[in-house]
Amino acid sequence: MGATGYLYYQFSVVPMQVELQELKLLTMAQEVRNQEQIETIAAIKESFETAGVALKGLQLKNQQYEVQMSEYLDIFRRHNVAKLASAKPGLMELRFNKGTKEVFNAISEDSNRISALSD
Amino acid sequence: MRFQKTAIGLALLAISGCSLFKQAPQEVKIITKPVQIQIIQPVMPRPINLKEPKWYVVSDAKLVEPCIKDPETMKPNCKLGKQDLYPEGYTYLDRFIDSIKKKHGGDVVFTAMTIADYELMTYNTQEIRRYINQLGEVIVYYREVTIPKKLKD
Repeated sequence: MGATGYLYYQFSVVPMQVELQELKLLTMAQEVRNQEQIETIAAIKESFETAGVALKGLQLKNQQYEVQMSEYLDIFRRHNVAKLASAKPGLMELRFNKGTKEVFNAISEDSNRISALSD
Repeated sequence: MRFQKTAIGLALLAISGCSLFKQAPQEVKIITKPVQIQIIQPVMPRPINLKEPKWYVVSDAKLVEPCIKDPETMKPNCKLGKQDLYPEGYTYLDRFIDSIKKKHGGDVVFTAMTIADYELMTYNTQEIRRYINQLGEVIVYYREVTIPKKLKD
């Protein structure tokens, strides 16, 4: 009876224990993998959301800069600058110099804003 | 009796395969976390420092004499008459040429630009400004997506 019990244990219970242990480890590994996948998906999602918001802001600002440029240059479409300069050169000289100063200051300000990003 | 107890003990040891003394295998813990790569942000270039040129707008329009200044208010008052600064028929072009001659020891040397070219220069300046700004926004975008949230907060 002892020998039968021993044989039963060795050839039936021990392999089952080994298999059980293997399955336990496998389940654990699957759980770890699952958690890893969840975290990775969350990280990717967050990254996409951040990129999406930033991209939207970028497109909006770029459109604004295009509009700003068109508005600025519209003055040449609305006025005959050559005719005005011919009739009132003194007045136009003031405007040209004032406009140049304003644009250069604006460019300096723009570059200041960009340079300040690393602060 | 003693022999029987010893035999049972030995039999138990034999059929259990010494499993009673076995320790459960240690669980292997594998922890994987998504790691954000730290990108070193470059130092931005120094801001642009522009110096403004002076534009001269000249035509053959005659210069109008300015009004005489009121000595009390020190403001021009046309009721008091006009000043006599320029010769008769003196134009903006004449004044410009004279000022250039004065600056360059009698030589007439200058760089001229037509109104159309001035418009073109203005367009180019605006185009450069637009490019700087849009490029700046691209930098902002890359910083947004590469700087870890913790650092931004």
